[in-house]
Amino acid sequence: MARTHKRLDGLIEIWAHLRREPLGIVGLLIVVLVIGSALLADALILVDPVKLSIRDKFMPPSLAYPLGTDYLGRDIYSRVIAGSRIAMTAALVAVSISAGIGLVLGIASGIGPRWLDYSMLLLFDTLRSFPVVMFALAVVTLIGPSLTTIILIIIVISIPLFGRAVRTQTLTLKNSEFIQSEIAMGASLPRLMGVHILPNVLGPIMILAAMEIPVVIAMEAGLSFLGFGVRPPTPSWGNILNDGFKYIRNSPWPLIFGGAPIILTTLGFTFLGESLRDVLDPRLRKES
Amino acid sequence: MLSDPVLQIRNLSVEFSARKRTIRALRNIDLDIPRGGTVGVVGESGCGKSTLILSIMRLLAPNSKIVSGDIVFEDRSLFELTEREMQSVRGNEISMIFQDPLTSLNPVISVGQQLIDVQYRDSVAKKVKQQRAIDALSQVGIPDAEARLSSFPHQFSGGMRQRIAIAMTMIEEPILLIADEPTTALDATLEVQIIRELKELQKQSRCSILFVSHHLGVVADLCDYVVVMYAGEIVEQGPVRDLFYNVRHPYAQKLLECDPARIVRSAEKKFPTIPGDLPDLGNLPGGCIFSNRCHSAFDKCETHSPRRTEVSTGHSVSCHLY
Amino acid sequence: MLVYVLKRIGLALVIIILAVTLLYLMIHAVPGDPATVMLGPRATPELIAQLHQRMGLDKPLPVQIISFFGRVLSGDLGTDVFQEKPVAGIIISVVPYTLILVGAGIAWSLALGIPLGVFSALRPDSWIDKVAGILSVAFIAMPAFVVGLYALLLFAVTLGWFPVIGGGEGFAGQLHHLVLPAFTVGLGWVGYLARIVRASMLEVLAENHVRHARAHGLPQRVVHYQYVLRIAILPAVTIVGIGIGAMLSGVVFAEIIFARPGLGKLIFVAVQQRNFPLIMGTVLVTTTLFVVATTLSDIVNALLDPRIRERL
Repeated sequence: MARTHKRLDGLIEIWAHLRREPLGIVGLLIVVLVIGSALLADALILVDPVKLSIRDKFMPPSLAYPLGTDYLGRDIYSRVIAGSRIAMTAALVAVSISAGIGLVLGIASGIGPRWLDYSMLLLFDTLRSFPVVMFALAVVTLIGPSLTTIILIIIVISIPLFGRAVRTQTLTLKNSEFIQSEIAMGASLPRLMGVHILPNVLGPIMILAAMEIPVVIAMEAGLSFLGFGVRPPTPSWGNILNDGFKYIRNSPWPLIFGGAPIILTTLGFTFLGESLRDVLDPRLRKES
Repeated sequence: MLSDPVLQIRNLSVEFSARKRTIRALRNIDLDIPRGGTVGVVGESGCGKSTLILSIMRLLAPNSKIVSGDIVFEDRSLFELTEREMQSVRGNEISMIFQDPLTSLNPVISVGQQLIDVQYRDSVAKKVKQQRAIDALSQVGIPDAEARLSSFPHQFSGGMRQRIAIAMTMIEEPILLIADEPTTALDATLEVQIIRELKELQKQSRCSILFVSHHLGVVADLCDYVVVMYAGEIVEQGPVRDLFYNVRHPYAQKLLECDPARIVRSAEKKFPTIPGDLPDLGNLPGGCIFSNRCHSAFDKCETHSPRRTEVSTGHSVSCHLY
Repeated sequence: MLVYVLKRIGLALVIIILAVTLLYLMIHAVPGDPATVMLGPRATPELIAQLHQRMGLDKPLPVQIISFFGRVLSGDLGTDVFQEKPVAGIIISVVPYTLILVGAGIAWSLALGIPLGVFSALRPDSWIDKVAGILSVAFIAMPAFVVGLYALLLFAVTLGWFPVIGGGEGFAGQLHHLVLPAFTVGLGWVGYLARIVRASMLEVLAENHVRHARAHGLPQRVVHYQYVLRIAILPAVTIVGIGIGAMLSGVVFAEIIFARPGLGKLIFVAVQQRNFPLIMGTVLVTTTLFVVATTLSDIVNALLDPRIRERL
């Protein structure tokens, strides 16, 4: 009971801070909008997003087609809504898995023996040294383009981000007085991890994850745009852009409305993440 | 009060705004610095010493406000100068030595360059400026000064860096030198040397010194006039001998008792303490500011602020006892 | 100092070797070897065996990796089996285009980002600072390829101010062709640099030595642009190395959207053809460039900061 209260108080405090950040509110609204449309996609779409009606191709926005149609006469609005589900799935799955792996590796690196720490750091550096897009393209060639491939790639390239952050946090905690005295009193490693280190690294992880989501969304859309992501005709935002790019001289609408949700979503998550960091990270919290 | 003062502070009050509160950091400060004289300011940390200095330099943080009063330097009100005019006062007529020598020099600019930069007003050849820098460094006792011009601050020890800071003010030949606890961050042995350098500097340039410290021994040694501050006010001021041998204000008495040198000499060897806390400068009580900690406070102290009373020539105290 | 430089170079080499080995292993760990993937499902066993031999795939894996490094060191990145040309030659012919694009992107983001950061830091919490802050975050968050597509749609297709495709002929022509791609790859870094410079500028402005310099009457101009900026610029230098590395990867989109020749376009086509030697070669070259850029910026940073220089 007391625990729930504490958590509720925390949420209320976050909200109280967030309320004073107009950009954070805008971000929150966008995030709610995108998540809502991903959850309610089936109810929100007007027509089947893959249904062709060639006669209606390259239509500008109208009452029947709120955002116009593409080169096959598919309704862009319905495709954008359906695409939000793909984007959010990729983002949430990839970020939570890589954050989980990063958490484990980071803690291991922070409290483990020195050789383990060094090899982890080398692994992180190596993974980070791949030019992201080139690496992604090479992997796609090998295992074929699909949503799973994209998620896999994103997991691999995001691990160093989480791993490094957790390692730094763990090291700071390990050297802090209260952990040192626990060690002196003979506390076991698992106990230290579970009771002290884990709860303390969760905050930074959450902030990082919020900031990583837009990167993941951009990555998924980017690879799909190149034709190496979600297979057409599945409506991903990147696929809408790909179609729009091919027919850029016929109609600007697929490009405009395929790009807008990507920009909107990345901005929304970033603004929200920035405000949350100001609220949650005590070191960065503004004196007020 | 004193004849021919270099700097006169009249009724100065300064406030900070922090977290929607107003901190009344300095209240009704009156202080003269005589030409060629050395004035020591003593008091606990938080008593407003630094605010006083920064008010003179006009380097207060943006959230602070001068509520009343004036600072007159060489017949000019410093508060009426433009920023540009003030800039030509700083480092030229009024110079300053800071508390922490480890952080007061720019870490990525060579010491020589920094000593040359402070001479930017002089339109002499760079060679001349460089020679001045070398002379000043040798004078403050830095060996091999010419070769060390190209060194960076981190290549010197703390004491050396404070000497470099003194060399800087030496080049500037100021009329008034403000030293903000210049020896606090240093070892005791270095302290003696730095004080010696300051005395030497004063002898040469005949400048006035405003010396801020909480080390009473150093103040007694260096200064000829002492000001005791408490919670943003001056509680007692006077010539050094009068103040040390005939101290009046209960706070100043306690402060002198706390001086380690006296304790060692006394029979009890017990560190006296002043019970209670500094008053909240954001919410000042009425009456005397020291009344809540004063051992000889009476009814009037809680309700009326004491006025300044002169007890002997140049020696004044703000306390209802006198 | 020398020890530090050598150590840093050594680490860079280790990372490159590890990265390439990892990539090589990955290629061989997937079901279906490269030869089968390249030739498609209808390839005859004879054809596959032939290709195996030509690509050296018939030997054991460690031997393959070592001989691969041996060939790389002698400048041989293998042969493009589609065009029958050496991979190294193909890559070298397009590298300048990519380097020019990355250079232009970094140059304009530095030219705009640093002044923007300095300007904001000197007026903290003014409305200009707030607008600059929001813009910086927006520039960082917006995916470069969407920015590129919008730029293409607006400035090239609709307004016709800039060419739609190609690398351009002659100096003026190349410059004209460079504008939109460079805008695309650099925009995010304008935001990054502005934020980093602003933050580090504010941090340095609060340091004691700034008040010391002011107390000695140094002019505002000298304090801000010599005493403060010289320290505040250091994190920006480090980030530029990372920026160059990230841009090497970001150019893929710009090169495809604006149909420019370059490493990105090359790997795009190679992936479509499943052209493994070319893919390997391109990834190897970009990874190396990436690591070289970050290593160089670390070393330059150490050289610029006498405090670090001394400690090494």
